[in-house]
Amino acid sequence: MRTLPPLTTAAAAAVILLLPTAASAQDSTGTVTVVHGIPDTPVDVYVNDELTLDDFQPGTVTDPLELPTGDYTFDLTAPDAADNADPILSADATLEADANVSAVAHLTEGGDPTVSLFVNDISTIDAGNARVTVRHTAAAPAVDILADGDVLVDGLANPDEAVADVPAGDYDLAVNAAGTDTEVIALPGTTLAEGMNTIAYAIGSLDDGTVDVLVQAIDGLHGDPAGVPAGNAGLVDTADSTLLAVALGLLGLASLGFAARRRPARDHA
Amino acid sequence: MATRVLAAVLGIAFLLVAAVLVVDRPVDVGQVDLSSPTTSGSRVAGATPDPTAASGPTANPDPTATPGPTAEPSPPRRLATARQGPAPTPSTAPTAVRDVPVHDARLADQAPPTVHVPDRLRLPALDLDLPVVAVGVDDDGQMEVPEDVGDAGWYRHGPTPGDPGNAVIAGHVDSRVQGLGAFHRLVDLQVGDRVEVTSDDGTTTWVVAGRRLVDKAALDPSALFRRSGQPRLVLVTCGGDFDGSVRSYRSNVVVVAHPV
Repeated sequence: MRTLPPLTTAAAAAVILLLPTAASAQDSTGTVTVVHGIPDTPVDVYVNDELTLDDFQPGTVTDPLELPTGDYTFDLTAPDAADNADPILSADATLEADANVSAVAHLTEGGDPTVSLFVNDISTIDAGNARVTVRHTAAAPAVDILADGDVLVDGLANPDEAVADVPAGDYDLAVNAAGTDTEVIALPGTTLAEGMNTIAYAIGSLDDGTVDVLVQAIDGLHGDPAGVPAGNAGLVDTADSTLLAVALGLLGLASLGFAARRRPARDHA
Repeated sequence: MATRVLAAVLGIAFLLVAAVLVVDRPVDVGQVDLSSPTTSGSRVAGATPDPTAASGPTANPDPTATPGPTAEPSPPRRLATARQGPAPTPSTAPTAVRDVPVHDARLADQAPPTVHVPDRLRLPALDLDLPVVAVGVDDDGQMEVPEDVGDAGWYRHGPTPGDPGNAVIAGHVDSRVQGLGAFHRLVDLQVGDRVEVTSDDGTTTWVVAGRRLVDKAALDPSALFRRSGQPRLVLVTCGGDFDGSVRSYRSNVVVVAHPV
């Protein structure tokens, strides 16, 4: 199992990367996935003043959008709005070349709507492993996340995330109120697929009883086995047979030589 | 006289055996193209759902099946500056500028992919009919190979036979404890020989296109285990020279078969 280095470092690096690069990255692109985690609130999403998602429903996620690098303004409006003149929410972001980010509309811990951007880890995953990213984007206090009864993430608060690589397989996941045995969500038999970053968002509001889990999957991050060790006895060793062939060949030549050399001796006798 | 004849006969016999040993090496035959380029009809990597959900009955469990140490929660990677208020240049077009596919993301609504795990490998030309088990990755990051030298192992994280990419099935050439493995006969497969793989949804039939002795140091795992491009069946075992100091063969015998 592997965990990411402390994410304070990662976050700082990401911010630096997002600083002025537009001049050198005219034809490069980044990837944006939009996640809707505000219950009961369909919205229209404008990207740089263009309506991009019409009537975007809570609980849904877009396919990854490949967008040119540069500065973006996301405006969320009521679904029947004529334009984005009076958005419910707005957010500015700079998209870096080859970055893979998720823009998430969600509730703060206090229950106010907001938009957060997260950078998705798309580095190669060791063969046989799965990556799980957990993002607390719900109006709820900090939580612990358990996998098969063991604490996987400790004290995760809105709007933090945690990332871990684990052996691929099915896990009984559970979300507990931090430091307690009080189960908020039970997710038995959750598949963490090999080579995939499974990104889980806790959304909704604990007080309103709308807490739910959304999933975004990024596949194709798999590594490959280093090799195929399929023999340890040397029973079909071709080096052996080469030596044997050479030895037999020499023995054969020697025997023939011996037979030939005896002939003159016998003729004289 | 008798000694001379005996020496001559022995000499010829030794030379013949030596010649047979030289000729009987597992020479490369046919066409082996592991990294077949993505072509029409194939899907890109990532399109195939993961097969781990339905491992075979004797699949080796992952060696470290419990999550490790606790991952530390992090401060937010927030890159946006939230602000309230009207945007500067309102648009007047209420229709979306592009069609962005959106899907339901609730965890409870996600259906796990169905995987048809191969369970039987037939090589009629060698009169072999082997059980196939699903295998993963060992502690050293190498492909697991079934303990039983009579079994074949299908790499369960890669494509199933017939899906885009290389379906990799490996078996032991030998074992110190069990002796020769069924796959030691892989070197006898010839171009054109048929191969059949059975799973719970039917049988796929393949024809051998080539066989190679590949130096392990030169093996390209991303080519051998590719998950996109033309469907291929790849049979793998060990062969070539044996390094007694590390109890390992220096090469892999790789057989590539194409779908019929």
